[in-house]
Amino acid sequence: MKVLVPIKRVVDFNVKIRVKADGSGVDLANVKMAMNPFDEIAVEEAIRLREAGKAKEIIVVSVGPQQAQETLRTALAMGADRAILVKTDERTEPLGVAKVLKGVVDAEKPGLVLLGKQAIDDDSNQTGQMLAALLGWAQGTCASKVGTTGDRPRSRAKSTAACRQLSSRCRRSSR
Amino acid sequence: MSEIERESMEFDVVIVGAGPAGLAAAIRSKQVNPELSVVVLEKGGEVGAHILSGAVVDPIGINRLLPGWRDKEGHPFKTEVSDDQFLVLGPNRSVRLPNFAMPPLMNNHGNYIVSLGNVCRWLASHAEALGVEIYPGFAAASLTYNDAGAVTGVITGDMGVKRDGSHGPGFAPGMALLGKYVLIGEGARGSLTKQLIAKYRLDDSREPAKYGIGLKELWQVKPENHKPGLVQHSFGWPLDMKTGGGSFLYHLEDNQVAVGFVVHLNYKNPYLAPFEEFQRFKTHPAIRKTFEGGKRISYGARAITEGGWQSVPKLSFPGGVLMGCAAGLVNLPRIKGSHNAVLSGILAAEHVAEAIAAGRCNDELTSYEAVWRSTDIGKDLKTARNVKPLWSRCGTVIGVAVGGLDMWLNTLFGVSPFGTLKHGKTDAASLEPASKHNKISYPKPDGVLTFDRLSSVFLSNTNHAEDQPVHLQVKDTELQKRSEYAVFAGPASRYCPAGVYEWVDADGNGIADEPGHADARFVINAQNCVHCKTCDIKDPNQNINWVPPQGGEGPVYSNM
Repeated sequence: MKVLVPIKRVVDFNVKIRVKADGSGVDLANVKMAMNPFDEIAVEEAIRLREAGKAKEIIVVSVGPQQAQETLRTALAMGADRAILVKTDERTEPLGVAKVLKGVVDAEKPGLVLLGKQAIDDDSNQTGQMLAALLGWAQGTCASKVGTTGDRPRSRAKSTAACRQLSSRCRRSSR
Repeated sequence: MSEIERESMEFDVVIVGAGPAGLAAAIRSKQVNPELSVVVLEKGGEVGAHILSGAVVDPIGINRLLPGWRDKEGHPFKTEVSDDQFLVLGPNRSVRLPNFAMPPLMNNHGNYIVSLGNVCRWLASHAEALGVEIYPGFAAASLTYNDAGAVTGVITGDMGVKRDGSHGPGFAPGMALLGKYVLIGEGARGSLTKQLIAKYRLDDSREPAKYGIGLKELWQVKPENHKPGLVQHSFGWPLDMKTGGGSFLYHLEDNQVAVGFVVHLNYKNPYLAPFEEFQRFKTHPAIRKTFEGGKRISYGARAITEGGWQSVPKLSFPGGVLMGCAAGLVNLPRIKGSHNAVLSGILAAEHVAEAIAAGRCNDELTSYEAVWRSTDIGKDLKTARNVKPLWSRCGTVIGVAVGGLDMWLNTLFGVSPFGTLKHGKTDAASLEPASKHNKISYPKPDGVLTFDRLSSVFLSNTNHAEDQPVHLQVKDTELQKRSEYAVFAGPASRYCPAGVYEWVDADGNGIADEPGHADARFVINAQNCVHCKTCDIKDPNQNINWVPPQGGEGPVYSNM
């Protein structure tokens, strides 16, 4: 089974961001960028699936500027097999990214798409859900554990807990 | 170190540290011989993350490394020095020293005010374009040797080790990077440098290494207070005449002002807190107006070498060389070292490339050690060699005046009436027991112009994984209690710019100022560490050993 993992280049989680003096946006000049931490978890999970023999190939994809190449290279260094950059200098938003990812899914035909819960710059938590809807695929959100039955992926999430408790469980247990 | 199977990679040149020296060496190696395989290891999360400097850069090194750099877009040298001021501060007033009295080497005409971190990022892009492999996020933790006792490479630190030393779930053993030659560009008081100096006795018959601690803040000031190109140096208040140090204040582009303070670490009074002196300095009437209505955007600190000409150790060892601040090439009165770092990187690369072309490997580059004193690096350091000893012996006013005179004599006649003065004791041995000194009462921070340590460390973006071995190794905890606490009143809690060290009683109250508590406990908040190395230098018993934590951690300095 091929696994597709979309990743996003965001401001490093340690950096304290500031608003530009003219108020037009966040000051990103010479600020350290890195892979979104939730996407790192997704890449790590894909690698574990491959090591367990459940996945054959891991493809990472990023929709972003030229420098997102560095983020893709980090994923390759972590163990991904192939990387795709969809280059754009526009500001990306979940629906647009989901539509682009649909195109990638149609071309690559993976059996599973693993996404980070949310990007730490916009905190949207929307791209995965929108992608599933566009594809007409099943979705498991805020997954704390991922496995397979036969070769069909299965995820488990706590459905009774409040949303915030859910997110913190995802963060702690999706290692 | 337990016997772990380690992967290894082989290169021609292994460089430790992506600072100006390391990157200049990488670029020059590829310029001389594009076929060389060159790798640069950097413990910071990205190139520039651990670079902190004023900085007013003399472009002599960059001009030699990358001729024609001015004509290409994208270089960081946007602000030329336009106004140079030297002030002597009293508690309320300031006196400006006449520029014509300054020796020529102090003149900043033609120099640039830059963020050295941005210069390193720019150099790194040049290096990568030439095919150099740069690996940020990897700390070179130890060295490898061959049977002849020569250095053959470095081993990166293990990742994912838990605090008790066992392997965590993310454990990844460090890799060995082997090279024909290993060039060390770790900066002041590097951890591998320390091991090399001890092993090969590189400091035999040299003066002891001397250091200062430099603290820096980057501010966004109001446009009416901003004068791009202004360089201001001061000494005097708030330090007393017996403590060396001074300030810098540089106006960069985009309404940014870099302000900082250096305290010479051979100070005697264990109650002195360099961080607090820095905060207090900003309140001086001549200084505070620049920052009115401004916002502090970054903070950091780093040790700076001050020993100069007479303290530079033997720079070549079997298998490699020291460069840059690891070699101790800062010119103290000019407060500049990056130019010598770049020049030493170029020099090292040229000697390494020559040796490799002759078929040599892992031997001693004696030619590098033999020649550096007659190059521009040596000429720069020789003229200024007596300033620090004179300052330390004669106090600030007389020391600086006589030091200035000495520099003039060296410039005009090439000789000094003092010969080459010695430095005396090491910085650690200079500290005196608390009983000989009085406490200093520092004003409380106001949160607008002056700040406390913790909110400052916050701005350095420093971060370390909690569950890892503490990288500040106290060799003898009993000695720390009966000496550092009981005799010296816990100076670590004062000289550390990041609030790493505390002496607390059983209830957790800070008791460094009260030497009598039997239940005193030394707390090390290692995750606050900004990798300045001051503790390694100043602990009076040399009881603290700084080793690199996991790669990719520590501060993330932007535009510093």
